[in-house]
Amino acid sequence: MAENKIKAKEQAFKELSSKEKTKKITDLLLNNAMYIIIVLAVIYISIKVPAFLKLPSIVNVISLTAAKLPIALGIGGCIVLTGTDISAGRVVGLTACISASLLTTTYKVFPDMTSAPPIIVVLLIIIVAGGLVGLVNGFSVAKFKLHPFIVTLSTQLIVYGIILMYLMRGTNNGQTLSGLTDGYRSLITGTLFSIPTATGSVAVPKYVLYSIILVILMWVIWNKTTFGKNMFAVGSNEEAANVSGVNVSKTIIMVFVLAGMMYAITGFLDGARIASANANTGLNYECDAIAACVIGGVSFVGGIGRISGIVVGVLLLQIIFTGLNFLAVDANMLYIIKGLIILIACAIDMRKYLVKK
Amino acid sequence: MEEPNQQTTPQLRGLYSKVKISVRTLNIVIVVLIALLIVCMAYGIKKGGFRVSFDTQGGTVVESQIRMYGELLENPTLPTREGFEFDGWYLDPGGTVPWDTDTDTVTESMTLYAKWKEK
Repeated sequence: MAENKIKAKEQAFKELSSKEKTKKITDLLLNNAMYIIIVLAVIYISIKVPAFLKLPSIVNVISLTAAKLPIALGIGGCIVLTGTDISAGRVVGLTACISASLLTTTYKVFPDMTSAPPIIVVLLIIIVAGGLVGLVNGFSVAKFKLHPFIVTLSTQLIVYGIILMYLMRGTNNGQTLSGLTDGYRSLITGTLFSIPTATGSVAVPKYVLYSIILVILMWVIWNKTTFGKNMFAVGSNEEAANVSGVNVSKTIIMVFVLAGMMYAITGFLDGARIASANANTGLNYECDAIAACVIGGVSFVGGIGRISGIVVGVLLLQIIFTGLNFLAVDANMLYIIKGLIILIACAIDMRKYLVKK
Repeated sequence: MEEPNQQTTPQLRGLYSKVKISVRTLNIVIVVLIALLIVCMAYGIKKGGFRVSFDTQGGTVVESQIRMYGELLENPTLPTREGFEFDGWYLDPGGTVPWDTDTDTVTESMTLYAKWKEK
């Protein structure tokens, strides 16, 4: 009798599991659709253009990922708070312009200057500048209870205006800033180490190291500090966090200030990396960063996300866009593809939580 | 008892708190969007090629070229201009970043500018 019952149960389980299996497979396929598409695309691209999987191209992808990581790490915090930050790209532009105008050999923006200030001073100035924009964002979100979209839209415009006015200063007349000092350039783009290949060697730039340091720093902040835990608490349930004694306003403001500082560092790296800065530096960077975060599992549902996810997100996005560039896909089409990727990533993200519900 | 329960099954909150869509509809939306993405990529790859245009800055018109990633430019017919001598192609209108048609390879869509020196 007992054996029969167990057998019947087994039978029922098997029948159920076949149904469940198809459901599980659909879940698996759809929830990981983004990764599957990217893997397939990489396979296709590497067959079409074998150079894509060669060392120079891999180092190129890693360097570009490193350059775009800090901004994504900053925006990740804002998304954990169910917000976002669309002023990020312009802050990158502003800080890149400030760095390029001070650490220069031509003194166009400040004609009275006779020598470039120490790099560390410039770094502090731009971190303060980025932090200030973050403070305005955070304060408005925390105290006025405005949606981050609206707040950061306005700061985006304000910062853009400031960039344009800043570039009109002195004898520069709105032109691209270049002629950076060797010290600044070599600090960022100097060779960290080079990998020998058959046809010479591939240099890994120093900013890869800085990005790794920032990732470790942000991992510690997110996972090992009270502030990090408060951030996740506020993101998942603001009222509950408030009741349990978390200073919600302070946490929100700090997340945005930290994000602002991260954009400033991105700007500092970008100025030297591109070797020039103008009003368009940093344009649309926030779109890439938000897309990378959502692909990496930082959810708009709030209070969910990991640093490792952000790193993977930025890397995957960089791989696919470098690959499409290898196939000479037109830049106009890349915008459409980028938009679709963000939309799909959000839909998949939403699905994960709908199913759980 | 409520708190651990909430932690194991997250409710739809945050930006999704007002979402009203069934999983089935969402599945269809995702599949359609993915199909659209693949079509866009395929179209982009098929139509692939970077457009390199030439701005002769007052000289005769030079036709633009479509090149693939990493290719050299086909030697463009050199433009002429009354009273000036052609002094090479440059990446910027000011003529500070030169483009060597023998060694530089195309990696993006771009415009090259002619530089002129007076005869």
